[in-house]
This record gives sequence, C-alpha cells and structure tokens, in this order.
Amino acid sequence: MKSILIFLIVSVGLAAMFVGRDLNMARSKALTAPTVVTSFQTQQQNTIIDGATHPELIPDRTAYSVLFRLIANRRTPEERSRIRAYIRQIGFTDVDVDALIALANEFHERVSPLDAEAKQIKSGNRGIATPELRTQLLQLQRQKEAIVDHLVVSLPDRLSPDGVNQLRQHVTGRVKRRLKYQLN
Amino acid sequence: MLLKLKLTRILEAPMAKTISTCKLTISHRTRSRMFLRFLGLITLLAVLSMPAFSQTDYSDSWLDDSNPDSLYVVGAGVTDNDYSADAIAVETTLTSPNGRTVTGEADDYGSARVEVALPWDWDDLGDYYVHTIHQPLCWGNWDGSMIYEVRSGGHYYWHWNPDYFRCIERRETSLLSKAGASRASYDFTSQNFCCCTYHIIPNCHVRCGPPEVSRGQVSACAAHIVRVEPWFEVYGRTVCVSSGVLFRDADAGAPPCTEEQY
Repeated sequence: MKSILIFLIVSVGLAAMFVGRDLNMARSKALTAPTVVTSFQTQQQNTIIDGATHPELIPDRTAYSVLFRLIANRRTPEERSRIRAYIRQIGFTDVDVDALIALANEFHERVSPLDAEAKQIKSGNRGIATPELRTQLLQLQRQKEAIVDHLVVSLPDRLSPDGVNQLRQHVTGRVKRRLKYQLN
Repeated sequence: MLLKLKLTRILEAPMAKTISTCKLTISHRTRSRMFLRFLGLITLLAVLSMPAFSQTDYSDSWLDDSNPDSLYVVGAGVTDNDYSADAIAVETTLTSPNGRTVTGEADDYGSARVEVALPWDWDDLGDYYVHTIHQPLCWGNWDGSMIYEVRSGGHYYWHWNPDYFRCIERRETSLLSKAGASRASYDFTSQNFCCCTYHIIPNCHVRCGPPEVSRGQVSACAAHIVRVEPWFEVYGRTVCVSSGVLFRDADAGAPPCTEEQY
C-alpha cells in the first residue's frame, strides 16, 4: 500500500515537471543562457552528419527541403530581390529564377498547414507525446516528405534542362556541404 | 546504458532525501522493490517522452546585387525540423573583416529562418564570417528528467534546470566567405558613336576582368582606364558582380592589375 502511495506521488511529481512553464518566457532566454550538457545529449551528438565531410550521406530530400525553406515565403520586395540575387548566382536565367521561386512557394503553401497542425499538436499537449500523438506527427512528417519528393521529381517539368543541372550541382556542391543533419 | 547510469546518479543526488526518509519506515526488501519499480517508471516515462528527433541546420552567404548602387553581403541561417521536434530558435551573426557585425534571431515550429546583411564597403574587404546558433526549444528533457549535468571548472554538477526549454545542446553552423574586388587596367583600342573600347593590359591575372570592355562616353576616350569589379567567393566559387563595376580614367598610364582583398 505504501509503495503504491509513493508510486503515485512520484508519478504526479514527474508529470508536473512536464507542465506549467511558459514557452515564450524561455525563448528570449534560450540563446543567451550558458550551455548545459547531459550525457544523453552527448550521445545524440554522435548521430550528426556534417555535410562538409560527408555530403554523400545527406539525403536529397533533406537538402531540397532546407533550400525551399530558404527561398520561400518572401514577403517584402527587399526580401524577394535578395533571394533573386542568391538564385541568380547559381547561374540561373530569369525564367528559371521565377520557376524556382514558384516551386519553393508551392512547397511553403503545401507544407505550412502541416507545420501549423504539428505546432498545434505539440503546443496543445505541452510536449507530452503519447503514442497517438506521435503517430499523428509521424503522419504529418510523411506528408511533408511526400510533398518534397513530388516537387523534386517535378523539377525537369518546371525548370530548363540547364536550370535542372545547375540546381543539382548547387544542391550537391553547396547546400549539402553546408548542412548538419541529425538523424533520428 | 547511459540512461541507466544517469538515473543512478539522479537517485544519488536530488532524490537522496526521499530515499533516506523511506529507510526509517520500510524494510530493506521493500525498499529494493520500490527502487526497481521507480526505475521502471522513470524508464517508461523517459521512453514515452523522448521525441524521435531530426534536425537540419544550414548557413549560407551571398552578395545581394539587386541594386548596383547598394550592394549587401548577406548571411542566412535555416533550421528545418521534423514534426517530432518542438520549437527551434535560430540566431545568425555576420561579421566583416573590420569588425562590423549584425545579428538576427527567429524562432518557430517546423522551421526557422533568419537573414542579416551588411552594406558593401570597399574599405572592408576580406573574410566575412557567418555564424549561426541553432537552439532547440523543448517541452522537457530528452530523457524525461529535469536534471542537468553542468560542467564547470573541471567538475560536474547536477542540478534542476531552471530553463528547461534548452533541453538539447545547441548546434552551430558557420561559413567563411570572401569579398574582394578585381582592379584591372585597360588600354584604349577604338571608338564608335557611343562608346570607347578597351583591351586588358598584358599579364593581368585577376578574378574578374574580361579581355574587352566598352565604356559609354560622349567626350574623348581616355588612353587608359581602370575597371574595378566586386566579387564574392563562397565555398571556392567566385561570383563576379558585374552590376557593381566602376570605371576610372588612368591619366598617369595603366597601373598593374591587382586583387583587393585583405
């Protein structure tokens, strides 16, 4: 009986650790606070792939996803002209610049609802991931990956042959080499 | 194994009071059973609360030449999380060779992007450094506990983390790019109704210097000119920025070609 009672107290105590804090309060402090390291975190670091040394281990999907995030959703004229300069420096013609921006914006339009749904699931449950929630998040993740795959496959239909080659070279030679990718 | 070790240390430190109180009232056998159950519970909670995590961090830099009269060196940081992760904060700092610096920060779920820029400065050429901190913000610790190990003065301390959203060690990406300018000299070759044409001088080996250039001119053509073109090098690839070209007459003759970078 006593053990059950202690069990319950401990369970309630641990559950309380996961709730009751405000995310916004922590965000402002997060980048300036001193670094803390747990043994578990050290273990996690071992699974990071540094594209500078192993670009061949970075999946295309991962690299294109980051590139689309970089290019998409430019709201101000300044932001839009700035990313056009970036894409022009890949070697793109103006037509291909427009096409790649359209592709990235399509990624954003299709992935944003998934982002929002995931955010709602996570924030609504204050980080407590039940198996059901995990399944939901995994399904969203799969949908996102399918969108990226579809867009990458559609590149030859959206860009000129030269544009496709230049983009592939850019992704392989530049994007992947600057990525750090942490596996599950 | 790491988790087991950590849990043992957890029990040895902040939970010690709880355990010692129990000692007074319960037998050794019961206490052992409780300890095992407690371990089991924590392990279960740890497994349930541990997110399957995937994060992609990226930094890049380029020269924004969309307005030739106002060039900018741009630095960007991006993180793309998968949906098992929580919020992410990205902070990017761009630093010029002379120490000009600009920092920006963004945070969101799913992904975060931040861009910063410094105006082009002909007197501030050389290595531009982009440094991005990618800080995951989470609802709990990776192993479900709230106890952190802090390294200080060669010692390890355990404590309850007051800022538990920084549940995973931040990661960093960085990038060194190079800004410079090619100063190439040209000799006059011909003139038509609008323009003066020049040919590059012998032994002029610069990154950005086409062999022939034309310069619109209504008055007489100068015998020699200097053409200065900015360039930006990222990851070994030089981009010549023709929109930022400057021409100057070289009245005292064509000076040797030079590369401006420090």
